[in-house]
Amino acid sequence: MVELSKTFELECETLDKDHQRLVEMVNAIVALLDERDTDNCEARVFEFITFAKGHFSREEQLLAKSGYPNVGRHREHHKELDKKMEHLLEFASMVGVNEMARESLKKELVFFVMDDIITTDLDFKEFVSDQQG
Amino acid sequence: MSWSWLNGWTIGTVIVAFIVILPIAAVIFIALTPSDDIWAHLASTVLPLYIGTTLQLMIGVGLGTLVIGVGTAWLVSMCRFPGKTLFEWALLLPMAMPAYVIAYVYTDILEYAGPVQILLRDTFGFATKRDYWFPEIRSLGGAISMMTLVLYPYVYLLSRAAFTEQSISVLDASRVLGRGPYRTFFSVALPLARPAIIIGVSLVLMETLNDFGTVDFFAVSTFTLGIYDVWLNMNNVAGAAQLATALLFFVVVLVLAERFARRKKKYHHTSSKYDALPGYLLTGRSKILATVACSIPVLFGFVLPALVLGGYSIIHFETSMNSNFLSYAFNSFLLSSLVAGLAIGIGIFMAYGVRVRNERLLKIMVRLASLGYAVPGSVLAVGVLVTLGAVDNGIDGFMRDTFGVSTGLLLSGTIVAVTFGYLVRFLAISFGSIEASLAKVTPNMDDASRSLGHSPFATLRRVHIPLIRASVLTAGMMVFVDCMKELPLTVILRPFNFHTLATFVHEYASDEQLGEASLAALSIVGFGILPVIILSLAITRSRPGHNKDAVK
Amino acid sequence: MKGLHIFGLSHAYGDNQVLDNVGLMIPAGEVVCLLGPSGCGKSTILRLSAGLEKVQTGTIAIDDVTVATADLHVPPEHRHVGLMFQDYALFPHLSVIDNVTFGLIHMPKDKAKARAMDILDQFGMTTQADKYPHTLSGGQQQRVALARALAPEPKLLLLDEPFSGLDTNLRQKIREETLEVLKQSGVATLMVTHDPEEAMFMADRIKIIGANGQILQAGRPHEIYYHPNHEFVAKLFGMMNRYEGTVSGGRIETPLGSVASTLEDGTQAQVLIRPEGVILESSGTGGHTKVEVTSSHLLGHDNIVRVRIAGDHNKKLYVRIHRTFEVELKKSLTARIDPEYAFVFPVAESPQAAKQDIIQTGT
Repeated sequence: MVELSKTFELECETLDKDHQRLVEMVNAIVALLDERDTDNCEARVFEFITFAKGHFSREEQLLAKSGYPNVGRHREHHKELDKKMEHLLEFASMVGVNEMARESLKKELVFFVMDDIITTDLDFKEFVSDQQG
Repeated sequence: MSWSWLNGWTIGTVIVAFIVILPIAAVIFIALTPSDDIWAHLASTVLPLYIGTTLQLMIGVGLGTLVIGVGTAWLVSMCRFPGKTLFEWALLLPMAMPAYVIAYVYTDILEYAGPVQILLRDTFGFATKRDYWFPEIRSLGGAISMMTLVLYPYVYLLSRAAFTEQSISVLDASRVLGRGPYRTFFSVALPLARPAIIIGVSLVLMETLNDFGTVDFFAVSTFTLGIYDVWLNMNNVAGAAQLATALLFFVVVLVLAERFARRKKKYHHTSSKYDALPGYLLTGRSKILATVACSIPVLFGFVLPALVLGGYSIIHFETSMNSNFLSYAFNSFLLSSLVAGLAIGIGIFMAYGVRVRNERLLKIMVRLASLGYAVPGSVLAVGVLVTLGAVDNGIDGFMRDTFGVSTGLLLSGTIVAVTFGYLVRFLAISFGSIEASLAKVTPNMDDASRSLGHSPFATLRRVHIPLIRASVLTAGMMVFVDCMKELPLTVILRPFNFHTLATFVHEYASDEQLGEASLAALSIVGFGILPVIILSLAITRSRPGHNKDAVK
Repeated sequence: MKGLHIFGLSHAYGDNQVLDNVGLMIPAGEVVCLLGPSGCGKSTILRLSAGLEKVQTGTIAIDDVTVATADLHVPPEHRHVGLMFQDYALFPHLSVIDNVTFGLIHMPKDKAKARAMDILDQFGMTTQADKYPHTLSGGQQQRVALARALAPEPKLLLLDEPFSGLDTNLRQKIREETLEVLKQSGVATLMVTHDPEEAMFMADRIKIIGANGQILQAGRPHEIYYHPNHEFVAKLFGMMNRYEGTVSGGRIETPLGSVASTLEDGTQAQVLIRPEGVILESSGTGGHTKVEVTSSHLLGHDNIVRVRIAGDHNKKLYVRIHRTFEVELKKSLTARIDPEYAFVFPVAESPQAAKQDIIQTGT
């Protein structure tokens, strides 16, 4: 269970809302996995990934429009996360039968949303803050 | 240019170092400003004599201490013979004996009117001096012998450390390749120990240049004697300064040799796991020779003079106590304690100054401030006088201009002068020791302490102080003892009518009244034994195979 | 969030940029390893997190409290961070138990002692409580150092190459022990190491820092090993076999066969093949490249075999085999590539990337 504290805020309404949603989704999935409720896990993860991809493209558009100099690099970063998301789905498909898959999925979801997405997004905090997208 | 390195510690350390360097700088400065054209005069009269005599003295003492120091060190560390464990530390005892004391004692015994010659004449029926030959103790040869006897422990100590450090496998390899103890010594052990030996001999020669009491008593015309002569008899500061500068050349050479050898020592260090050195077992004639060879320096360098002084002290006890012995002892004690305390304080201050800010400039200044040990007392005395004189004149001039009041001489000729002199000379001891032990408190330990909730001050209290306490006390003690023994500086810088035990002994011995001053001399020797005890404990602890403190 | 959060961290020593925009987060109970060559900013991150150095650019927060920015610096003694050093930095004048209670300043003495003995028990060190550090072995000192850091129940634990001072045989055992204690304590842990195997064993997430102070890749050990995104990351785990070529039709040719690539056609590229990705087969099944063995070194668990392609005396390949392989008993051998262990990257053009080309760590 992770919380989005102040240090994770970008101070940009659109993006922060997206992040909030992503964290909520992860927390929900993790909570269910903790209770050993593994039905629909795959579907939930798929839902999460779809939303993440949507967030990526929203973000890229916002950055491009604002003239953020390193848009290209951030786009590359999002592309690299594709492989990770595939893996998350693979794990999700196994949580019913494999204990380790369950453990790893919980961990990877947390790291994915907090480290790969949100912390990396903080790179352009100064750029987007107060820019209500 | 970033000024971030300017902070309290740095400024303080620079100031302190600067003050300590002043006397040496003053000497050079004065010497470079020729006045009275004394150089030419000196060159044509006494300079060749001083150079010649000083060189002879240095060569004589150098060779003597080399042979005795290295020889006994080898015997004690590499061979097994009766009495070896005793000699290991006993060979250090002559260190407790100041050269001038031993000179006075032997002169007393060996001079024409002394007991040895009297016995000789009685036994063989000689009537006058012309009937037999007896070496004149008051000569260059005598001075060489005296200094050799009390200075060889420096070479002994360092050579012994070097020999025992040598990895056993190196020596084994030499034996397997067919070299017996004798050849192993010359072709393997000796070259490996060379840097340590060079350091030892350099220290010996620095002390030789420093000596005043012996050369004065024996009328051996060295530079030091010349400086005293020019200063005390001719009142010529510039002349004394110029001689001092010439002497400094010798010192510089020695210091360079020592530093060079120290650097080389790092490469020669064969540190690995070592077992107890088995030692060659000596038999028959060699066994006896070894025991005798080790006994002689101890006997003549310490035991005999100590016994003589002891005897005299008992005989002259009443007179000694009635004279000003106690007040002189008090003076010595007070002065030495004061300087020891200051040396510790400044040593700690500088050690932390270098630790807190690792600036190159700071390190250089601190190194310079530690040069006092190499500068002969006579040179230092001139420097201190010149410096304090300049300060006094400066203050006087300022006061006269501003307030119309003449302050005259404020610092010169006071206890400040002699304290300052001692401090400059002995600061190296305290700083070196404290710096070395502070280095064992690693930065990681500091960081660990802080991450465990301790502020810098709490870290100081709970980590640093316990760890450097021992070396601070040892340093203080060594400075104290060196101050008690000190003669050259004290003779020139002491306030009027202020005697220390050392100057008291010097004065009375010069007047052929050693007997009355023997108690004082014995006290000095007594104090001098303290460092010997410390060093011999260190020797025991560092004996190969003994569990060393090894903290990661 | 309980744990460590760093973002935007950059740091330079003079002209040397050791950290370039580094970010990471560690939730309580997880272990993150920073892996990279010596001299890069790994240890700097530890020191900045501990408060032993001031942040130039960036933000560090522990348990949601910002402790360091360019304008803010909470001193180390107030951060409740545990530190463990490569040289352990035990206080030589204190016994083991006194070392461990050192950080328990606000606890009454008897409680502190109880807590210390409790922790020492987890390490099996209670019988050594009154001994002094210099009498302990390396492994024992390491345990005491860790116990000392954990005793005050820190919010974050920082480990700087904690096992490099240990004998190889001991290392694995101590790693396991340490990991167990860490997981039990539930503290967020940041560990710095230059040993890839160590990072793989200990970490929930590995972050690779390149020589220029940037984070090159972050992920699970599996990801780092089997899906390196940069030739530097691929080369971290030891000697690689390397072939150059041009991508054409989505593939790139090597003497051992072709490998798929997603790079654009026409790109100058290099194929890096892990030693265990070269498969040697006895009876060459049609079309595979013939190779000759030049030397074979049995390490016990693995066999390192050097082979060269028949006819080419210049290039030798590294092959790693996990099964029994007696060179003397083999007839003709062929080799092919297992695509799982082959990675394609563009050929280095910039000197920066070329520099990373040269840096190789690990065995």
